[in-house]
Amino acid sequence: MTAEPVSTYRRSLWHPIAVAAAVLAVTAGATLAGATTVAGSGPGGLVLGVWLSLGLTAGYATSGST
Amino acid sequence: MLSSPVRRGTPSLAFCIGLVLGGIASAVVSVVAGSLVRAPLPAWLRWLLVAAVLVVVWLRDRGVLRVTLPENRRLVPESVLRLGRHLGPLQFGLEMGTGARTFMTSGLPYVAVAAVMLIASFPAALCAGAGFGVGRALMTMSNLRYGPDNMWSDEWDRHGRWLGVLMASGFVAALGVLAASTLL
Repeated sequence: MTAEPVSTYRRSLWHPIAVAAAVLAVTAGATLAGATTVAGSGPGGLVLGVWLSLGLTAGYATSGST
Repeated sequence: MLSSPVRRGTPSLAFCIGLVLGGIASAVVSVVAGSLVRAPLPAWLRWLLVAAVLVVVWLRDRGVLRVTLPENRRLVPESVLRLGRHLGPLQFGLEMGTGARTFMTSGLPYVAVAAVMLIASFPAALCAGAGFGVGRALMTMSNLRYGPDNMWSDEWDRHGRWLGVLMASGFVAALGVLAASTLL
């Protein structure tokens, strides 16, 4: 009785769209942080996070089947 | 792809570590190779080349352009799993993580490679490579936790068009900030 809702909830966390939303949230955060560097108010190291996001989105985009 | 030795516990962790290491290896090769050709090129021209790759990939993915991009159209042989409970998945992941060993179902990695070759510093390349590996590992982890064989992939295929658009949007936004950080 209780196992099914937990299972469904846990599964929903790993749904491709849920994972994509998490990837996009990380990317948006890193990109905005990187933008502060471009604007001159953030440390230069934040741009590395943008590079990480670039790879992250490219990597997750390859998840489709052939 | 996710055969039984990779499915559970520490072997799946070894597989994911392999994916990240493979992504980093590809990025290192790309940035070293790129540093040989980009030195005489001004920043604006290098970004123009990256933009050209992006446009070609976008047109190709939309079916407008028929271009064959370099791709190793083979599966990683399952014989690598004979190396052992952890070494096998590690090597399997490493080969998949390079992105050069098997099928490539999106054009975005080609643009990422162009950006790493033409723009990235060495630390930036390491970050991009690690990110690529983590992105591929997310697919593995989600697949294992979502449900029985192929359920996750079926869901991906069902929403593949929108997922592709979402990932491309995030990718282009990140690329835009990187261009601004270099050119402004």
